[in-house]
Amino acid sequence: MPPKSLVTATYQSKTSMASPYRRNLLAGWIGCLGLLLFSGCQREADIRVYEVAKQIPYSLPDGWERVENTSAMRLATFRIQGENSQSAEVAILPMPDLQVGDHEIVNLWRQQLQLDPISEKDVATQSQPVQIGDLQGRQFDLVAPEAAPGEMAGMRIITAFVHAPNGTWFFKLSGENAFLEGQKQTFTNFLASVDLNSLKESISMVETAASTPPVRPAVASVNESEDLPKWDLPGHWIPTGARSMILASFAADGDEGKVDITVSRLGGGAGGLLPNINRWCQQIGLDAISEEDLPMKTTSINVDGSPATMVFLAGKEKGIAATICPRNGQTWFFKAMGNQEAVNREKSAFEAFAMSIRF
Amino acid sequence: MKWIWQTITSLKLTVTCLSFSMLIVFVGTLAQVDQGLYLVQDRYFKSLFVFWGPAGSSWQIPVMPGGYLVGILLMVNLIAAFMAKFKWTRKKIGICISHLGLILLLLGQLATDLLSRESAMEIKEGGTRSFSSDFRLNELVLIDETSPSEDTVYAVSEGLLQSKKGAIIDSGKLPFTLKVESFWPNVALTGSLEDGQGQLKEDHADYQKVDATTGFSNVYLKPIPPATSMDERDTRAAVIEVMDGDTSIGKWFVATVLDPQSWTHNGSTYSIGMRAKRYYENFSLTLLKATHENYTGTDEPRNFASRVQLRNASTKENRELLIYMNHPLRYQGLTFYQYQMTAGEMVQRRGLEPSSTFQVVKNPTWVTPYLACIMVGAGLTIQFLIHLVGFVRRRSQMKPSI
Repeated sequence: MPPKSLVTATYQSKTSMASPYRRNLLAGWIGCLGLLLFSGCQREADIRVYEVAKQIPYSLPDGWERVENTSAMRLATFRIQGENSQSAEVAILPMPDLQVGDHEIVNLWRQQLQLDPISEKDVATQSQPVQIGDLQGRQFDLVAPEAAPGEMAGMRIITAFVHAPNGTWFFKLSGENAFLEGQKQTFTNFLASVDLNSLKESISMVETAASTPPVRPAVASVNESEDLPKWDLPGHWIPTGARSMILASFAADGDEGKVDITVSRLGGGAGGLLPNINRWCQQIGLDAISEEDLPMKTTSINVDGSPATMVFLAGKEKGIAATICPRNGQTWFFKAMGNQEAVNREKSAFEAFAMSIRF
Repeated sequence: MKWIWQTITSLKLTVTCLSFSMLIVFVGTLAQVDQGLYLVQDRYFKSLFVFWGPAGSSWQIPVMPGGYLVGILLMVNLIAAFMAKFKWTRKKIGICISHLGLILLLLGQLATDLLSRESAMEIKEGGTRSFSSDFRLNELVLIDETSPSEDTVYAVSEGLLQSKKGAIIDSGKLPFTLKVESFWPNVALTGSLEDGQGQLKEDHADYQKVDATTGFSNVYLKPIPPATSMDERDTRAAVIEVMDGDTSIGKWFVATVLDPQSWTHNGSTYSIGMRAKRYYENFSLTLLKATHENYTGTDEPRNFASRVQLRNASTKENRELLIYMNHPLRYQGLTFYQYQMTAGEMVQRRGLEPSSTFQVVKNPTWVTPYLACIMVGAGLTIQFLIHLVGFVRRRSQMKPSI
C-alpha cells in the first residue's frame, strides 16, 4: 500500500474538540493578530508636532537689499546702499556645468575693468584663499587702472569662486573702489555664512512647488492679495507665490517648455521705458535697441482705462512678453519669460491676461 | 461551541476563503478600469466588506467579503486547523515548518499593508531635501515661524479634518483652536470669475466662492469626484477658522495646490496650509546630477541615474553615491528607488530645471515573504526527504522474490 500523502493524512484525521491548551494557544494567536491590526489602525497620529530646522542660505548683512536679477545667469542680486549715493552690487552666479577654466570667467571681469587676462597658472598667485560656506575657495580683488576710460575708472570687482559638489559658485562684489574697501570684510563674512547645499533651492524656489509628489494637480489660479490689481487668470497658469521683489508669480507649462509670469511694481517711472526694455534684451541675449526702434518693439494698449505698453521680444532661444502700466505714480510690470516657443504659445493668453487687469 | 470549532478548523472554510480571494482579485482588477488603483485597493482589498449601492443614492449594502476579512479568516482557519489536527512528531517536522511559513506569509502581508508607506522625494539639481511627501495622504499644517532657527510644525491629519467637518478641534497640542468650516476631498479651483457685474461667468456657473475672510478669499471651487488616474492627485481643500480661545483670528481657505498663508498674532508669525503629508528624516540628500540618456536616435531610455550627496550630521556621514535603475539606495530602513526624472537633452531645450524624483519605501516587514518562502520550501524538501529515506530503507529491506 503506497504511503498516504502527509497533507491528506493531516486533514483526514478525525476532527476533535481541541484541548484547552490548544484553544488557549489559538486565542493567543488571534490576540496577536488583533494587536497587530489595532497597532496598524492607530499608526496615523491625528496631530503631530515636530520641529524643522530652517534652511538659512546665508546671513544677510545689514544694509544689503535683495533686488531683481539683471541677468538670467544670476541666482540672486543684492544692492548695498552707502552714504552720499555710493552703492555696490553683489551677485551670486551658480555654474553647475562649467566647461571653461575658472580663470576664463575671472578674465571676463578683468576685461570689464580694462585689465589684462590671466592664465590658469596665475590663479594661485593672483588670488587669496577664502572661506565660502564650509569649503575653501579663491578670491580675486580687481581694481580698474587709473587710466581706464569712462565709467570704468575707479571701479573695483571682488570676486570669489568655489568648487562644490553641486557645481562651481561665483560671488561677485562690484562698485566704486573706495566704497568697496569698507565692504570687503562684510563680503568675506557673507561668503563664510553661505550654505552651498541649500543656497540654490532656498533662493530660487517656492518650497511648496517642489514639496508635493510629481503629479499634476487640478487647476488653481488665484489673485491673492488685496494690494494687487484684479485680473482674469488663464486656467492653466499655476500660482507660484510671491518673493522679494515679485508681488505674484505664475507658471504655465506645456510641451514647448515652461513660462514664468511675474508681477512687480516700482516707484515712479522705474527708470523709463527704454532702459527697462534694454535690460530685458540683455537678459535674452539681444542687442540693446534705440529710441527709434521702440515703435517696432512695442504696442500701445489700454489697461483699465489707462495707457500701457505691450512688449514682445524674441531672442535666439528665449523670449519675453511684457506689459508696462504706469499707474498712480508707480509702474507695474507684468512679464512672461521662457523659451521662445513657449512664450509664443502663451502670447494670446498673456494678452488676454493683460487686458483683464483692473486696478 | 463545538460547531464553531469544527467550522473554523474545516477544509471547507479554507476552500471558501480561497475562492473568495480569487473572486476579489478578479472583480478588483476589472474595477480598476473605472475606479483606479488606489480606490480599488481601499474598497476591495483593504476592507472587511465590499459595498455596493445604486449610482446617486446614499445607501450601500455589503455584497461580498473584502480582502481583510478573507485574509483574517484564512489565517485563523490555518492556525486553528494546524493546532487541532496536527500531531507533533519528528516525522512531520517538514509539514510543521511549511505551515509556519504559510502563517508567516499571511501575517507578513498584513503587517506590510499596515506598516509600510510609500512617498516621493523630488529634488531639483543642486537642491537638498530631508523629507519625502506621501503619494496620497495630506495634512493641514499650522507652522510657528517665529524662531529664527527652526519652525514648529503642527500637522493635523486629513482624517481628523474630515471627521471634524463643521466641528471644532480643540487640542492641547495645538497653539490655537481650529474650526473646520468645510472640507472637500477633491476640488477644481479657479479665481476671479466675475464678469464685471459681480456675476459668475457662464461656463463656471457651477463654481462656488469660498467662505474665507483672510488670505485666498477670491477663490472659486467646484467639488469633483476623486481622481482615478495614477498620474493625478486629489486637490484637498478646506476652510479653517483659527481661534484664540473664543476670539476668531480669521478664516483661511487652504488647498494642496496653494502656498501657505502667513499672519502674525501676539508678536509671533504663523502660517497655515494644506500639503502632502511629509516624513522628515535625520539625513539629507543633495542632487548633484540627474542623467537621462536615450539610445541614439530613439526614445528608448538607456540610463536614468542620479548622483546624490548623502549627509547625516548624527553619524558624520558625507558621501557621494549613485542611484539608478534597479540599484536603489538602502539607508536607515528606507529604500530610495529612481522613480521619475526631468533631465536630458529635451529638458534642456525646453529650459526646464533638471530634477529627479525618488520613490521612498519604508517596509519594516520586507523580509517576511522571503523568510516565509524559504520556510515553505525547506519544509516541503525536508518532508520529501523523510519519505524518500523511509521508502528507500523499506525497499532495501524487502527480500527479492524469485
